[in-house]
Amino acid sequence: MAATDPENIKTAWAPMVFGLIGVGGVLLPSQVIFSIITPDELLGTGVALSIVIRMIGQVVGVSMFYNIFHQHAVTNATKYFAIPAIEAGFDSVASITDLATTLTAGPLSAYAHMFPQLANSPAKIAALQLAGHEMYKHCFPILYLISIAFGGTAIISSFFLRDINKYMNDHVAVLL
Amino acid sequence: MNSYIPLVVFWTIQLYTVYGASFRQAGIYLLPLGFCIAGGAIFSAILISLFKTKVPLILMVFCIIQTAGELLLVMHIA
Repeated sequence: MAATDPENIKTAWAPMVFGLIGVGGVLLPSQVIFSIITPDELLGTGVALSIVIRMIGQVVGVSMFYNIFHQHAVTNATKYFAIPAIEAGFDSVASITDLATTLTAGPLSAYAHMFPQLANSPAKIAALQLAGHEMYKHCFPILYLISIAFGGTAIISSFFLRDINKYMNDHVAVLL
Repeated sequence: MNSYIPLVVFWTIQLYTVYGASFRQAGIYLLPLGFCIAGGAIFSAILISLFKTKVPLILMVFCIIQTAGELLLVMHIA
């Protein structure tokens, strides 16, 4: 049994809450360490740099994860999504790609008016939503596995953090 | 540092495709995203002011919590 069941969202909450508290928790200590070890005259530059590094990491990360997700979505679409889509009347690769992309934007019933093949047929919409579920549930575990690798490197690097106690004194850089 | 992106960026896509959420449900399911990040930040701020000499240790603990959450998301219990 998987810890997170793709059929039941309730199983996802405990790991999500844990992960997200961790995400929030690492924001502050890294910033504190950065601003404590930066010399007074470089404080603005140092803090700005720490934010910029985070942003660059995020941009690189999103593009990397999105590429991996796209690659897996294409592979899984031929396996799980193509046949139900063809049965519903989508006959070209471009239209099936359009349909699979639309599924990521919201519930299909909200966008069904964009596809003439789906006009007035809730059964087809439900079948395609189910096929999309079957297809996309195989795309997400790999993203979390890769993020565990990044988390592991973060834990290992945090072991090499030096003691900053000698910089923790009553010195204030800018008296306001 | 990149390890939070699937949690933050791809959770929305996962809600719509895997869990078949409507727009209203997606809005409700996205609330923990903001509140848990804010809660974690507040919690770590409290910890930093309580244990002023242990900042690297607090950072390490939150790194472990984050990775443990991600591990739970994919781990298969026999």
